[in-house]
Amino acid sequence: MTGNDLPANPSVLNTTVLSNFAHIDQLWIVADLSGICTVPVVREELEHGVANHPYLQEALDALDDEIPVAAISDTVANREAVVGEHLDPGEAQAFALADAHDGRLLTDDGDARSFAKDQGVTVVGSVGVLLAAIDAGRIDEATADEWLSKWIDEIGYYAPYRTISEYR
Amino acid sequence: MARITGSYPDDLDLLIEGAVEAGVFGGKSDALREFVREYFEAHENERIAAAVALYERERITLGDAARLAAVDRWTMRDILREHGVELRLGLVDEDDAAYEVEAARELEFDDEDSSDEEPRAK
Repeated sequence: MTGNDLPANPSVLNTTVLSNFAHIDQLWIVADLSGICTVPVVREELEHGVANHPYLQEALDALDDEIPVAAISDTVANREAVVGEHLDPGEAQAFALADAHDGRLLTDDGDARSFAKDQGVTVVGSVGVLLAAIDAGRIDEATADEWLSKWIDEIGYYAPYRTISEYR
Repeated sequence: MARITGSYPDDLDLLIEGAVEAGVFGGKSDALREFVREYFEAHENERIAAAVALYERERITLGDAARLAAVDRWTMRDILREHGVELRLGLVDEDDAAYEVEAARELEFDDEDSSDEEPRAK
């Protein structure tokens, strides 16, 4: 995927949302989002982690066909270099792409979320994806509650409410 | 590159000076870098403890911690949980949750499945 192929307002993934949905074997939800894409460094991070965390293979398999990996233009690379002082490599590249193309960053990483908000770039995390999926009729609330509980109990995800209805 | 000022016993200083004179190290800084690097390579637990402590104090990110501990991000996440450290992963508080609800309204799904289908969970 080149810069010219990018949707107008892309939803750019770092590793966190990708790996959360891979962990529960429900990556199809993320892949169905309009304008979804990720960046080359995220692929590298997944490749680095997959040996010890085999469930990440599902995320790797989804890249390219279901979840495009955007090419990084010089403009994005320059922005990435600047924000790289504040963010991890995957987050920096994903943020730079979202910022340059008037998109949003899909992340659950607290440090990246704070930074993106400060910079005026919209961030959405795994809970936001669940909320959107319910509104679109893709899943029901009971399913979303079950998945959210798994993240909280199994991978250390923090959320102020355990049930989706409390977010409304 | 960081600078550290410290003091150590005279004999250690002489050994370092002598090693530099003997061509073992290019200079005192090279020697000190080598000592610290060797220590953390040989002491994995201390390396991990350092990464955990800095993440817990919000001095570094998860990715930084993983790099310092020489593990992948997901292993670092597991290590932090084992140490009882609260991860900065997810929604911080009620305000962040309210933000998330608004931000989620921007998300749309591709129209490949009709919305009158039964909700599914693969």
